[in-house]
Amino acid sequence: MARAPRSPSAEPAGTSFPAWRTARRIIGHEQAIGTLHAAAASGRMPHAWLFAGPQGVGKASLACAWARSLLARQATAMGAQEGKGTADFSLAAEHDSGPGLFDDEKVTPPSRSEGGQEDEDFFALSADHPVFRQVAAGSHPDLLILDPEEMSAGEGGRARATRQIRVEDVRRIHRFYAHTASSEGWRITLIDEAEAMNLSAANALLKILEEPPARGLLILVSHQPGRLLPTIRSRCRTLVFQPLTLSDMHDFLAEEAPECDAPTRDAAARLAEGAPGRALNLLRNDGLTLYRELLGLLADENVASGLQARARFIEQVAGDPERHRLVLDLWRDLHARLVRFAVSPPAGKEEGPLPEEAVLLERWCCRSSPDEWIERWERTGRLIEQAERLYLDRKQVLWTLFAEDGLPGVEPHRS
Amino acid sequence: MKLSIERNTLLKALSHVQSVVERRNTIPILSNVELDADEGRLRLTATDLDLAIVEEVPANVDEAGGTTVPAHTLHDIVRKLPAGAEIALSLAGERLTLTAGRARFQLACLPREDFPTMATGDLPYRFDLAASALKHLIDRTRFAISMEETRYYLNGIYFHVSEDESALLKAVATDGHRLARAQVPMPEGAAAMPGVIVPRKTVLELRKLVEEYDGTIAVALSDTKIRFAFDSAVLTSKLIDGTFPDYERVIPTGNDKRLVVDCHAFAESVDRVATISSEKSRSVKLSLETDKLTLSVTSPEHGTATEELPAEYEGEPMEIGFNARYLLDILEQIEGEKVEARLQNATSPTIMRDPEDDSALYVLMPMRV
Repeated sequence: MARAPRSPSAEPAGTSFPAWRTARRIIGHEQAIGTLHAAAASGRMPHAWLFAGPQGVGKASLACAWARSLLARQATAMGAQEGKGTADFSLAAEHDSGPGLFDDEKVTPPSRSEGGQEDEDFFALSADHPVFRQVAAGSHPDLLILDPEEMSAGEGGRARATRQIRVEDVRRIHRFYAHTASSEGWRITLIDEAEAMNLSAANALLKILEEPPARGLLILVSHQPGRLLPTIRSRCRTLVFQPLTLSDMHDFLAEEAPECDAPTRDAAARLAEGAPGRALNLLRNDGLTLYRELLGLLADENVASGLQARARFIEQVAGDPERHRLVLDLWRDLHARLVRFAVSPPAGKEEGPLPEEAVLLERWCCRSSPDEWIERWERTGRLIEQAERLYLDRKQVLWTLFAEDGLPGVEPHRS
Repeated sequence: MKLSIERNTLLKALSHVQSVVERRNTIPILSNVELDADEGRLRLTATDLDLAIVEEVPANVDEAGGTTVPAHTLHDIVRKLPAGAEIALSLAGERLTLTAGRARFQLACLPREDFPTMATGDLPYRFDLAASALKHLIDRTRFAISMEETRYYLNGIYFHVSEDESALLKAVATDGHRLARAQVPMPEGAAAMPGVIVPRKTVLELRKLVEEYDGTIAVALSDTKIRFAFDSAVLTSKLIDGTFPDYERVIPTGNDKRLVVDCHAFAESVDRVATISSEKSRSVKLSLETDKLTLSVTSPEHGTATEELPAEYEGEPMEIGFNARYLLDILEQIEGEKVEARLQNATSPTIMRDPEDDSALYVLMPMRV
């Protein structure tokens, strides 16, 4: 029977997949891609990988694309299956791909690996290929995705109380590897936000890492690899993702967000600290306006209006989890830049993301010593991490951060 | 997609496929059943990524096409419609409309492109098996399948052919405390098949399909996959990726004490005296004397129970303890009048079987009492 051609953009509500599962290209990371190609070509593939690097830099997107390309290759090797699964490994020249982070653009030509071998580009798979669709939907029989985002939304409508990967989630990996592969090839597990594993989950994972199943491949993705057990880290081949350069970021945003003007894109690129995913997120959620507002509030020391304005801001941000998270991340980075500024004030021309921020940094810098700023930055990081993991009250978290940075009429808190 | 189908036909097919679909799913598409209509037939597919059932039923198809809809919801709707109702299904955009009489439902669909496909690959070993033979192999062994996930290679039934001249197809299941082995004459073409472990869930689904079926089943398998083809339904499953222990080793050969008891009376007595035993141990003691079997249970909390049974026994008097649940499980499997137990001593495994029937054998480890 002829399958009705279906434009992926006509997806019904509720089937929008996380952007990293549908990413059709990635910027930079040539070295990481080269390493993966080399490992696959060597015939001695490490059974466990740790993709480490800043949030939003493209780790999960690359992991997913790699998994896709491995699975598609074995589907091709197995030959066309009856009905579905006709392996179409050609490049879709100008394909209309689904909604998502890296979509709506032309497919990049296949890259060449370091050694000059002609490897398939991980991102060459057309968005209509069954493997692509199934990986995006999480329904490929040889791929298991543990995604705390998805799992915390709960099964059968019951949301979880904490954002964690628990031991019963990791047991799914045990069950997954207890069964044979659906096709003769890799059985791939992808753990996103691997640092969200609690201790018993980590120990259960360790059992798999210690006795790796045949043709099993584990990819751990983490932006805080330091929070993983050292025994887990030591059993994985670590692949470090470097932040993109500013010019790569500019190129990326010029292509992805042509609707924004150049200064806005530049500010977003600088604020995102080399992570394209975050920069896009900033632009799409009006993050720059939020950030300017936040900077304005932090600079405002008028007792009466300052407190009220903060309350309004909190009211407005706390209602939307997405914006709330954005503000928290921006806040943490502000403190990080503050530390850098305090340790080595930039000589001469300012390179910061926004002029408003530069003014604030200068003013704050003389308020405390670098040591204290480092401590403050660590406290902010811990608070934000707890806020996400334990679903702390959003308003309270914001008030706490404001209090730490000094409410008008109140001395900044010193511990 | 546009078609009409008789309610009972659809319900029967749906009830087969929907039981594969897990109730709780983080992946939305896995809650769905794939519908595919073409030239006089409707094909339903459901999967949990480890096994897939495809079933075809006759339908009046006006327009070919396909989609996926929530399996349990569709099943519940069809179940609640009156028998004999004519059901019309039509797909428009992202909605499937179901009408029957004056009832009208609209179901949210998910794109079938996202629906998983179970690649079958090459299945080099093929043979035909009578439904009754498969029923026998499953029924006699499935109670002994281990539920313990740490020994995952015991979470299924091990199917293999005999290595000697006997030409038998054997099914074995064990959880480390008891073992069940059933066998049937080896079907033609099965001689070269590798030993495979069929997962527990597949066994249970397979059993449901066999229930109302009495033809032959075309079995095809490889090292990694097994497929059972019925007239209108096909079940394909992954296998358990592990090595089944060398079970022949634990089947004792030198047990010289032979006990024969009336099976039904034995089971009832065990059940009665076990009432006293504590929830945890569930142990029952068997005291054997010449032509007499005494069952006894002593529990510090509840008291004691004893019951005597006439039995054929000629060896030296001995005592041995068993888990009452395990003993009952085995006795339930035996269809003949008598059960024969071959014993060695109070610490060695005991063999139990129907003295009239060679096709099934059970091994039970004793308990200390």
